[in-house]
Amino acid sequence: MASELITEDTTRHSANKSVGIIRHLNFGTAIIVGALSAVTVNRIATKLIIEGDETWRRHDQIVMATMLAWFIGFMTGIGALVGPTRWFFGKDLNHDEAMFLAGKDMGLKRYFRYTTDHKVVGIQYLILTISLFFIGGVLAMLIRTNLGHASGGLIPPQVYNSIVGFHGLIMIIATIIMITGPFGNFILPIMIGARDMAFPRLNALSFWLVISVLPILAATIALGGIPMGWSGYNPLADQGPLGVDSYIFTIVIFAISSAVAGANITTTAMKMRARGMNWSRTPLFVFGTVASVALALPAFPVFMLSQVMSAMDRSFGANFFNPEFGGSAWLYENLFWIMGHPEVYVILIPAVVAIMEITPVFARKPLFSFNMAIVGIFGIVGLSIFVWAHHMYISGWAPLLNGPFMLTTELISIPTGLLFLVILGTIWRGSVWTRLPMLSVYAMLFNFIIGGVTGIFLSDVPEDAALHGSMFVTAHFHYTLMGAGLTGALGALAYWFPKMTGRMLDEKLGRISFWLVQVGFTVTFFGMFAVGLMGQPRRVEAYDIIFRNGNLISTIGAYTIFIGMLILLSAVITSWRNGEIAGPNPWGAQTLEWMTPTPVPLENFEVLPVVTSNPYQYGIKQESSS
Amino acid sequence: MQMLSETDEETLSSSPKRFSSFIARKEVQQALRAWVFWAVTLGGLGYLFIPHLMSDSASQTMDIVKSTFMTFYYASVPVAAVVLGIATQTVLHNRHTGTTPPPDENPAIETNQMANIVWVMISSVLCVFLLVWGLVVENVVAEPSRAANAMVVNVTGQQWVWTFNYPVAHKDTNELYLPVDQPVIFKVQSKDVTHAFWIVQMGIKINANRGEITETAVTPNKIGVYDVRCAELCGLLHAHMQTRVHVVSKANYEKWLAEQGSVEQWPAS
Amino acid sequence: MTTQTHDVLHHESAATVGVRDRQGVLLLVLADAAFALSVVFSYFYLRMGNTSNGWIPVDGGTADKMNSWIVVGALIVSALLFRLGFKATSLSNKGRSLACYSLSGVTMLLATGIQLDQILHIPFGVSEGTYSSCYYLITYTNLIHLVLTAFIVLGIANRDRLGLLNSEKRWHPLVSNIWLNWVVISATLGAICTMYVK
Repeated sequence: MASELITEDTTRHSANKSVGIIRHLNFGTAIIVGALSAVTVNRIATKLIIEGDETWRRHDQIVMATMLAWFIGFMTGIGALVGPTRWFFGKDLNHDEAMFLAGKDMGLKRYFRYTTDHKVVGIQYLILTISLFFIGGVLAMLIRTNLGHASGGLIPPQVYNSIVGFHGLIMIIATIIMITGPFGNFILPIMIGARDMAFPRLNALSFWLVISVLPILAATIALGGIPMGWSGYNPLADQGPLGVDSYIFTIVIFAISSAVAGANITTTAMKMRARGMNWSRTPLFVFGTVASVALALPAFPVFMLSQVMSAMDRSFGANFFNPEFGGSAWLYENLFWIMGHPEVYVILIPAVVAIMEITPVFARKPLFSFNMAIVGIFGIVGLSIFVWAHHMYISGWAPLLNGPFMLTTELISIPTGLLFLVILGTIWRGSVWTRLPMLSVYAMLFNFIIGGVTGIFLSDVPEDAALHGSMFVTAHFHYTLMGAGLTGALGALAYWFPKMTGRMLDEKLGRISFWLVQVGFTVTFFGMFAVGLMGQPRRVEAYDIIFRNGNLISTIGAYTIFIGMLILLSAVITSWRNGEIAGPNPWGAQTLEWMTPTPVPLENFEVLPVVTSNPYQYGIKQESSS
Repeated sequence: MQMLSETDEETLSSSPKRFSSFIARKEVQQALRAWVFWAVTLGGLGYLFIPHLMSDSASQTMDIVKSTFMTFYYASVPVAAVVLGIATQTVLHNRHTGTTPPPDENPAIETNQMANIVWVMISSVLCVFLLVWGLVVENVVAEPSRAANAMVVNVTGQQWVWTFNYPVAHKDTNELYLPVDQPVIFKVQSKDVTHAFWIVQMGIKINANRGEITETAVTPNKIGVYDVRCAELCGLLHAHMQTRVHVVSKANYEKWLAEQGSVEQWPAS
Repeated sequence: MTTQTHDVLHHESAATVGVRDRQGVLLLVLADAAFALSVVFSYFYLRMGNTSNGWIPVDGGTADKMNSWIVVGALIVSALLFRLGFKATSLSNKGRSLACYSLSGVTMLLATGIQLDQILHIPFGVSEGTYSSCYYLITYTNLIHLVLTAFIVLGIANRDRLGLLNSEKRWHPLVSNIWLNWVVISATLGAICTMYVK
């Protein structure tokens, strides 16, 4: 499917006049239209929705209507509805309009519009991810400050529980998008030799959907917060104040955004690879990203359903989770965890494959056992659908199923082990080029083995009876999602920074940050393993005096992480603005994104590349067997 | 397409010869030393610290919890030591610094059948071990629930207090009293949201659900006072939803049971 | 659809772009199917669980089991008409395709109207038990499907009227056909659920 060179034939099409309403729509108009809609609908709803016996339900309905109005207004104001409307009326995009939508010649303004260029969307996601991590990190510091103080109890429980819930929710969103957002969008299409993603306008949609819910999320502060963790367990969520409605709305919209992004990335990888790039020559990063979004695609709608039901219970008196009237808390838990377990692999796998992409480059050695990596990734993805009830061993739902779920869960250790095999096999007898991205490879190995092993403890049913709901679990999932996941994302950031920004990320500051974060991380979460083993429950704002030392240690570690992260943030900002200018391929890597100039031109390649081998052709070939 | 190194080619010939030549290689020796270092360090640290962290045991169930933890820990130490050992060897001996990439002169090993097979085999053996251990202990831990002489205590969780009901004596309390060496089955439910009934030192935990009755069982085997905590976020005072369990001699238990009066339940908010 | 970007910017053929459109729609169907199957799972879970005998309370109302099938029937007619329209587009027969798409659109609007009418006349409130909660969930989500699909079908009809479809440019109706088939299946799943009441 070779493409011709782009010719800008402006004589054939009328000029900017044809661009129409799109040129006037941007982030600002989105906010204005959203706010006006929200206020208007709020007034109308308050008048229309009659005061009855259940005033609390009335407030939920008004809040829901207001949020819906904000959402529709915002998406209208950003221009998301222009596409479908024009499609309906047969007014398809012409060349100028498509170029305009792609952000041609628009400078910085294109980041504040419904821009379709995947590189713009990638940068937008990068800024969003960094912002989310910052907010989530501040919330974490509030948590740790509270817990580091005497026996806790510094922050009142109502506020504290909300902080914990939001820390969880924001970090979950951030870790889900942290690699597929910035790098799945910016890098992946170039890596496969394409000019853009399969559905450029859906790309913009997936980003702006997430932005649209951020004010809704922020509004929870004024709406009483949330009493439950990010997992939104009913019936506790049903009891909660109006802030829970914001939570519900956020989840529903985020699920739609993920589905859209998942369809986009999967189709792009499956249908738009360059000529000659058969599956055995496709970089592992593509496999892993596709595996992640393809897993999310059927998983997140299940979570979405649980929230639709929760909204119906709260706003309309439905009884999905009301046992007196036939409902069941176990239904909620099943729906949540059917999503919840695949979701952790949605988070983890892109981080692992980013590390697998980095390792050959910095070890100067081919990726070891490409096939085993594929088996590992897809083994994990496949098995992850069958393990969810290990989160429910002590729920009492189905004690007879505990054994089978223990089996499936422990089986996952086998494909997971293959991922280690691949990374270790690659660094074995290779170089260790001690640049920033390579540091993350080693940190991930260290953290992932601890995270994985502690997961095995939890997979044992009687062990879980002792450890479930304790800080041990919190430490375990921070080790996997943050120690392995976030570390991989930071490695990816250091690795692809030169391509995305045209500058090198400051090595010195990066190293200082790396050590502060990793050492701080180890201290924080080993302190947490300790208090968990000793019997401290999770999600508590105060605790028995025996847990004091462990919490103090954790808090000291947390402050260390925070300082390290702030240093990294400052490194990102200063490097982006005036760091060392990067050449097109500072790492000497072989994947296609490094074959383009930096900055990457609007349509990536002047001539689409043809691929003849896999991108791990390093080292001296050994003599072949006869 | 697999490219085999000379030494890998040898692996296809005679077994003991190639194994000893594999072991004799410099980098393998270095990695083995690193492996020993990590195995001893991790094993030693675990041995020193972990048993002290886990609560005192007041039941066979908790004994099993602790021994399971230690066994799994010691089983995972050699595995972790492999990962850390290889990582350490490379960092100590193959470092390349500077702004130019390392020279492209490493062996282009794309796979190694022996490594793949051994790795999968060892993972599978470990997995089977974990599973068998898990099924066995799950069965042992369930023994109190099958005991013929088990007594029943009804547990009710509500925001934010535990109430215990002794059906035989029609007695309600907020602190749990149990006779030593007597299997007890807890029938647990909730009045409002989902809680989790957790006796820390006995290693048992089960959710308390509204509209359902769940069960867990244990045989306390040590006299003393232990902790009951809530292990499922249940709203405002989740952190304070705690009480104590007193394990006493049979005689003292009978005496306590006969005492008049029930504790007033905390009114539901 | 969004892939016009590729048509217009990169001069890729309609088939190249169309194949991607189809893949994308199939993936969105997968996501939607996960939602729908979860609804089915929840329906039977709650029915089997019958916590506190609350599935249908003693004096609780139930809906006529045929209701959902009427909507399914109208949907099937609409889908068949649409498929005939698609076949006509593949043969570049605009007269026939336009007639079929238009009728399909009208039938879809009819199905939407029927579903809406049924919702407005449900003989029980949402709070009566879990059967009622599930019934409302199924009917309302089906309504959302119908409204969205009516937009798509009418859009195809309009685009055909404007001469934008022919045998080469048949991918939009092809992809819409896939979606329409899914909507029929999902409505059927809902109808099957509501057959199992007491």
